[in-house]
Amino acid sequence: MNIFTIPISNIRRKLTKTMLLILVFSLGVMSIAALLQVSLVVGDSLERKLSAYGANIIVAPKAETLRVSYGGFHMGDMLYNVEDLDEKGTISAIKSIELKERISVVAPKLVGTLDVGSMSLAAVGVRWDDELGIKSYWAIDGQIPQQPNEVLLGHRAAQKLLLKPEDLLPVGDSLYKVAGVLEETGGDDDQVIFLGLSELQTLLRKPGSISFVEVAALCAGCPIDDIVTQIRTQLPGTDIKALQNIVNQRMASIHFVQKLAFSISLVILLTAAAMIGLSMLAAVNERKKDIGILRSLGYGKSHIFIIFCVEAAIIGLISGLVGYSTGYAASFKALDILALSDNFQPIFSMVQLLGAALLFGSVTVLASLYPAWKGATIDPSEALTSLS
Amino acid sequence: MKDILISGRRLTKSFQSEDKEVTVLNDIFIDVYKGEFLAIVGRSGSGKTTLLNVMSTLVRPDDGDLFYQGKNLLTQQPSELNLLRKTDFAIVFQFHHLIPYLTVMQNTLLPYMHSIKPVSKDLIQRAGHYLTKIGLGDKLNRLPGKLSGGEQQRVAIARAVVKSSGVLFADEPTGSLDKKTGEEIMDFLQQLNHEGMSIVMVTHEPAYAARADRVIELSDGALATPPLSPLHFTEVEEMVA
Ligand SMILES: Nc1ncnc2c1ncn2[C@@H]1O[C@H](COP(=O)(O)OP(=O)(O)O)[C@@H](O)[C@H]1O
Ligand SMILES: [Mg+2]
Repeated sequence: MNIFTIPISNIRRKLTKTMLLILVFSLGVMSIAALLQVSLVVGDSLERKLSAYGANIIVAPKAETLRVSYGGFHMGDMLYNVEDLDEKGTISAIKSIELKERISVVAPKLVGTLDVGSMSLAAVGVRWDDELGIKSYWAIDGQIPQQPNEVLLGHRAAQKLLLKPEDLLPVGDSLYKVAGVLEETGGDDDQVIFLGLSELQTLLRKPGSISFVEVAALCAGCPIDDIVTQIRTQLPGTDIKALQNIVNQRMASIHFVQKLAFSISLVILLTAAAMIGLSMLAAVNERKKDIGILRSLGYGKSHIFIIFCVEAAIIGLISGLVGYSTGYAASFKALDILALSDNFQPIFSMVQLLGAALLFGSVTVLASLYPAWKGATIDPSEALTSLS
Repeated sequence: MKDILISGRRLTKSFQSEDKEVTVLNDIFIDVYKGEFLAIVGRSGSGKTTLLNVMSTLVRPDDGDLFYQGKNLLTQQPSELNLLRKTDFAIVFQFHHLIPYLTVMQNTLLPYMHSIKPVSKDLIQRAGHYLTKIGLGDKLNRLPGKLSGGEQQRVAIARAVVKSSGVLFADEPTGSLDKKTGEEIMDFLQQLNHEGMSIVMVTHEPAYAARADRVIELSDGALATPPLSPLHFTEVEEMVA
């Protein structure tokens, strides 16, 4: 028996009312916990999806460029001293950085020119799976090459060569089949012939070489600069660039999702807090006579204040515990409905559970400060007139 | 001459009721002697409850002085008055004397439940002992709603006894009870008085007032029969000292 006996007994004796309050507040906490869990997973999944629309890091050999212009007329840059990268070494280096979990696609490429009949065309050797990982926007007439002797033509390249899917393309001594033609992309891809990486390496007599690597990294969990720095340490001889505007755009979409979730959570929290505040205010009025009795027994204002705050804190703590746990469970259901449950799992953490209990305990206490203060400052004689 | 325990001088209290001010206590002089059983009578609305609340420090008068054991209570801090109500004064009301969601035992020990420190085993034992003595031994864990009116009133008085208060202020303690139960409570109060507790009781039952050592009558906020000639402050202080 101590001062806590008073609020605890009151909560126990008014079980229905307390349960109702806890239910309402738990529902609020639950929605918030589920919303935040889902927004984290959705943000992650959204970023993975966005990474299919292009890479955000380029790993290239260190190159010296010389700008050639004359009289203000730009005549292009001259590259000299360009060395190719080693395919195996470069890729395994990139995939072994500390933040490797955040790398979703590594797409190496070899670039060169091929003589096709009388024409000289740019050719790009790629690993098909990896390339599709960052170019899911490709629309192909025909299909993606399956065999080493199949190629994919850019839209303009196909026009120049007067070729369509299923046609044959002679390159040097070999004959290639056109598996598919890209629909116009408006970019560099329109002009080139895509071949399998090892096929082009053979044709150009550059076995095991690549020109550069495109990397798609997920930046929601860490700044892209960290990833870039880590790759740079692994590959000191290369030039590594983050495509900042792509990164920024993606982060903006993900932050939008998270901000939305945060704002909705805030509204739910404020609503729940207002309900607790109102119910406490009603409780104070209802219990004026209790206050009168306590004051007549020598309880000071601070004691009355503490009694109401403890009552609110208990409700908040229980709601935080119940709400976080059910919210965690509910987030699975929500991810199921959103068809995101296969790849990602919400994280249950004891620290977060206790944090939620403390946070919502504090929120209910904050919401009850005014009612508790009102109760504490009720004039004992006024409280006592409600006695008779 | 007997020692004066409480001494009210020129006590005045008005309430704002709608647009006009109503003077409920008008220049009251009152003394309570140590160990006496004082009854205050008067018609309904004559100001008895207000006077009792002023003496027990629950209501602050607009004017006048209130001495307890020589100290002027009206110049003391609220915390000192809280302490006084916790230790020396006990108040018993006509209705709703108990907190409905606390048990008989908890209600009895309420004056000791201010702090985080649990109520001592000693006190729990003393309360249990006393509650048993007044016939509530098998109802220690009941809620007040499950008790009769007389039993509730006994718990309220037990609360005053357990904390060994010096003065018991009782506002129509028999008012909500039937005649037989009312008699029991009066016997109970008289017994406490014989054991040394000073009692100030408001009642409108002439038969109960007759059991007191002394009766004063309030009429429209003034004493109908001044029991004492007004004393000067210096005299009061001399008497207390
Ligand atoms: N808190 C208050 N506010 C306004 N009027 C009050 C208050 N308390 C008492 N009164 C008025 O003071 C008068 C005396 O009340 P009270 O002391 O309760 O008388 P009694 O106990 O003798 O019936 C009544 O007219 C009552 O309406
Ligand atoms: Mg009265």
